[in-house]
Amino acid sequence: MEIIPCKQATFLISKKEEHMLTLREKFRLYVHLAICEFCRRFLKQTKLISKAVKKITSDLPGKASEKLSPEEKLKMKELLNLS
Amino acid sequence: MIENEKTISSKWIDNYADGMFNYTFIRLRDRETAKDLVQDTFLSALQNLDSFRGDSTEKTWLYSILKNKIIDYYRKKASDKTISYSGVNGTSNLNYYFDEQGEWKVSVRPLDWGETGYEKLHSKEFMEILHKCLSILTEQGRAIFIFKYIEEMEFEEICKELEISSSNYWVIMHRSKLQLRQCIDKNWINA
Repeated sequence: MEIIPCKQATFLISKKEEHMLTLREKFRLYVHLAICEFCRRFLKQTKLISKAVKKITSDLPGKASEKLSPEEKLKMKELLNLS
Repeated sequence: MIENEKTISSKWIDNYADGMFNYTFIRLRDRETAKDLVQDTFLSALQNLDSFRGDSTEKTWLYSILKNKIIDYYRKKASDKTISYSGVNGTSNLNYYFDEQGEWKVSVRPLDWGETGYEKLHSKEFMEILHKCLSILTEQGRAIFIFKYIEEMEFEEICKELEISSSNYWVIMHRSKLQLRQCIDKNWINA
C-alpha cells in the first residue's frame, strides 16, 4: 500500500479526533505515523495545545481579568436607559 | 422607559458587566466588540424580560443570551470569506507547510519540544504565547477552536452553528492546528 504524504496524514489527524476515519484511513494514518517522526510530533503537540486551550478561560495572563472602566459602565447605563 | 427597567439594567451592569465582558473578551480578543456584545445582551434581555420566568437564575439567563450573541458574531465572521483568508502565502495556506509531494518543508518541520517543553506547558509564558497565537488564526479557525475546546460543543453542533460542512470543518481544523502549532514553535521553542 502506498504511503500517504504528511499533508494528508496531518489532515487525517483532525478527522481522527472526531472518530470519523474509515478503516482504510485509520490504517494509512497508522502506517504513516510509524515511519514519520514529524507527524508523530504534530499529533502529540496538537493534542497538548487543545488541552491548553481548554484552560485558557481560567487563565488570562497579564492581568486577573479584563474589566470595563467606570466611564464605560456609566455610558452603557445611559445607552440602555435611552432605549 | 419605566423606572423599574432603569433600575434593573443598572443593577445588571453593576453586578454582571465585568464578568460578562471578561467572558466575551477571552473568546473574541477584541475589546470594542466585546463591549458591544455585552451591551446588546443587556438590551435584548430588557426587551425580553417577559420571557425570563425564573426557571434559571438571572445570571445564567444573561449568559445564555450572551453566548448566543457570541455564536452569532462568529457565524457572521466565519461566513465573510474576504476577511477569513489572510492571503495566499500566509501561514493559513497549506503550501506554507508542505512541498509539492505533500511532505513537510524543512523550515517548518515540527520541532522536538523536549521533555522540558512538555513540562512547561502550564507556565504563564506558554499561556501568553498561546493567547497571541490564537489571534493569528482566521476568524473561522478561531471560532472552531473556541467552540470545540472552550465551549466544548459537539462537532455536529459546531458545523450547524457555523453553517459549514463536515469536510469544511476538517479543512479549517487542519489549517488552524498547523498554524497554531507552528506559531508556538516559532515563538516559544525556537524563540
